[in-house]
Amino acid sequence: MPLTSIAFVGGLALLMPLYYALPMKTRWPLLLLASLGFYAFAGWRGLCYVLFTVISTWLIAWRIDTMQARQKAYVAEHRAELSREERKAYNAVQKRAQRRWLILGLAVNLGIMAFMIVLKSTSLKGTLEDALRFEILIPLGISYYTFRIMGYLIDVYWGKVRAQKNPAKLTLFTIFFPQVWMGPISRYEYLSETLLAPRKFDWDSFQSGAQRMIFGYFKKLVIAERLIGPALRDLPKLDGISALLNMVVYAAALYCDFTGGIDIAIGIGECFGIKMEENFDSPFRSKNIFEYWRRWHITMGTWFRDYVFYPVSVAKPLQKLTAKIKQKHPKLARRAPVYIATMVTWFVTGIWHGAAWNYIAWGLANGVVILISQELQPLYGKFHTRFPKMNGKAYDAFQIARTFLLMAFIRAFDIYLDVPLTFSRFASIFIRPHFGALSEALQVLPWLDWLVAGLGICLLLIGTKRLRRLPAAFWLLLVLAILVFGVYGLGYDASAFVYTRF
Amino acid sequence: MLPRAMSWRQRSQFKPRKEVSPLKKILSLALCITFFLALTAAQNLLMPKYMAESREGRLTGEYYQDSHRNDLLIIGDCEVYENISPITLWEEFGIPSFIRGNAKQLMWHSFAMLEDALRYETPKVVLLSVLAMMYGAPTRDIEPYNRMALDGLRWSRAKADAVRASMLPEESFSSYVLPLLRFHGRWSELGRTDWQHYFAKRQVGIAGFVMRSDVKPAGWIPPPKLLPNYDFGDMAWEYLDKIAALCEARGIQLVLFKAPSLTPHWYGEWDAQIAQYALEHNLAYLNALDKADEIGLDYALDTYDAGLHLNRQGAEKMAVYLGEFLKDHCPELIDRRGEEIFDRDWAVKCAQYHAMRAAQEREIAALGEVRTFFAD
Repeated sequence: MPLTSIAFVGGLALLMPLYYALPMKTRWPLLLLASLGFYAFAGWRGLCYVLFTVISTWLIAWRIDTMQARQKAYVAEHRAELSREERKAYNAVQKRAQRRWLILGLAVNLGIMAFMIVLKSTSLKGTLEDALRFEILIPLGISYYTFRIMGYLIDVYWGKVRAQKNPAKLTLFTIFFPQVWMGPISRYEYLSETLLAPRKFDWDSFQSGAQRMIFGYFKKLVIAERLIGPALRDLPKLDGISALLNMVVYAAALYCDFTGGIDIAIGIGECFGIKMEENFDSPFRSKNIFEYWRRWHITMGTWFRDYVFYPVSVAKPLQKLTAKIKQKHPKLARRAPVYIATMVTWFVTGIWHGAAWNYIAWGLANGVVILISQELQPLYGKFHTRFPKMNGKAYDAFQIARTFLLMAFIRAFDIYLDVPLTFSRFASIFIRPHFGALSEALQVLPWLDWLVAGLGICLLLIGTKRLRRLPAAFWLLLVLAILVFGVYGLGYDASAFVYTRF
Repeated sequence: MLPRAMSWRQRSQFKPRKEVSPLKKILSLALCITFFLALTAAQNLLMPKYMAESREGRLTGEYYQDSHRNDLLIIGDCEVYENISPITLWEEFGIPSFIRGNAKQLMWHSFAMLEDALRYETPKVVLLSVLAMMYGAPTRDIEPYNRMALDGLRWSRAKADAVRASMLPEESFSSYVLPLLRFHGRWSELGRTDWQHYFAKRQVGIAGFVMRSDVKPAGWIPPPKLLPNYDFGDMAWEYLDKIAALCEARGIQLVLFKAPSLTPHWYGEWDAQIAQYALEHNLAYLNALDKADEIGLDYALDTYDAGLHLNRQGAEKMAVYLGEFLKDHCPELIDRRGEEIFDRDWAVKCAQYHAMRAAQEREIAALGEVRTFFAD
């Protein structure tokens, strides 16, 4: 049941009054039931995977938590009797035991997710299905819920949060229905607080949530659905300047698709009085790639930073390697951990999107560009010192356009799904642009549709903050615009979000 | 001051209730009403008007403009709304009748049409076209026909049941409740017809009959294909049973009817099944297909599309034959001519009919075709 389906919207309209009509204590169980129902709708077998993941993680986290509590109690009780070294040795033994449980939990979660990603991205699924003679169901949003629950397990191990005693509550955190499709990848310490606490109806929160949902549906149905078809189906056949058009159109479509879905998810949460973490902060206003990745898919970026980049940076094998490099190249040794950790992180990010070369290339391309930009920082610094006038609004606009184009180019791996073809299309922009073919390329969409998408994008440029100040009449008009100009219903088959592929 | 008896959690959630001024309440209500009016206006604009093309889409809705004083209700697909002239039935036999027909009206549509009509009137006889028995389940191309047949139907349990029975998996019930969800994509195709007929739609049928006076002689008719199975589908039988049961329950005589048309082919095996059903249920069955000579049909003159449907001349001949058949088989059908209330109704319909006939004949004489039929 996609977030844009009429059944989903209708179900939501029934759920909301029921939620607020019930006593506060029964509200989270209602959300759990709704989430289980929502998930089961996509295939009850998918629910089996999720429940297995949740229960195994719950047991392991509980075990780690108990060990930590026992460890703390023992140390506190025997503080006087134990020397510092003895305490340290005891703690190290305990930590090792806890780490074993953590590794087991991560292996279970990662194993299932990796297997599913491989199945989804290769022809293995068909081969296995033929051999086993039954359809293998890939659980909905597996990448998202696995990351959520792995984050929880690691946080318990690190002692950042206490293990959840109630497996039902952990299930709700894992598959809270608005975020099943495409995130955000919420952290347990933030979401559990707001998700499980009883909330009284708050008109302001409800209004804000409703506005956000409307805006999300507008982005998704009016702009993204209109552009995504030509961007993935028709324009990829063309090269030259049309390929550039394709990259730009795809970047805009993906932005509207993804942020639209996130707006819907966060908006639903707000309507229930639940605050989820933000996933975007105007990424296309970024002036460089670092800023872009701080603003785009924030929850994924911070997840990889906290659970991959930092641990890899301080991992013992890397430290040993750095020490070796230091002997021959002391300058390089300072940067090596960052270089390696960055590339590993982006490699894993690429794999997370799908087990295919195009995703790996996409991840590595991001890593390479980030490292080059980092290396060029001193040069930029010198340039700006020499030409201080270059810091005006026009230069800002240039930087924004440059970052947008750079990211649009890197995203091309998503469009063509083939690494050599991506490079070939990219090269064709400069080698044989065929400017004359642009008018033909524009015909992939009727001009009225270009107009509607263009006007929609203009509305986005006004900015959500300003739009939110507009009166209710504007939002009702926007609902009407979605109903009339939205691309949905019979004849359209594109109602799934692009980011749910990952 | 917060009440002392409250727990810390309740106190933390306590927010003084905001007072909403009466003016704000009125404005909010006005805004909601305006929104729903705008939604309705947009929906009316975007829904197909069925004026220049697929005019049959208007027929379901036109039933509600009728006086609902009919002794005979004719139900079926194009084999009835183009092949039987109710005006001739009135003028020759004094039988007040109405055709509830639509393009590719399947048996479950027909059941809905009957159920719906019985909310307004109880005819003495129902004449049911059996051609649709050949469709045992919704066909892949049925969606536009579903819309033409069902969108004009007023909401009732009958409509809800018909929608559920007719829908393809990719359709949604909500799009029948709010057709804007189905037709919103027409915003870029809106033309003169949509604005011109926003409020007033031109009448398409006369007592449900769609008139075509032009002639296209029947030519070569392809030989019938051999079918793997000649049994009618379960769903078709189910709805035929439902129609028969409903008629019986309401004391209505049901007559089964197969119109004379050269294509699609009506197989002997099909005919035998209907004849058997009629026999078992004590129903009259008229298969006019092999009565062309008795009816006086000439497929060189009495069809406008090479034998698929009859034209006005053919429909009038068919009505004369049908009138005689009904006189013999349906004793409850009496001649209503001379009853003021009927005469008044039918005078209007007859005048419209003859005016339309004259207009079409003038066009055929001048242009060689019926152009107004396709005009928006």
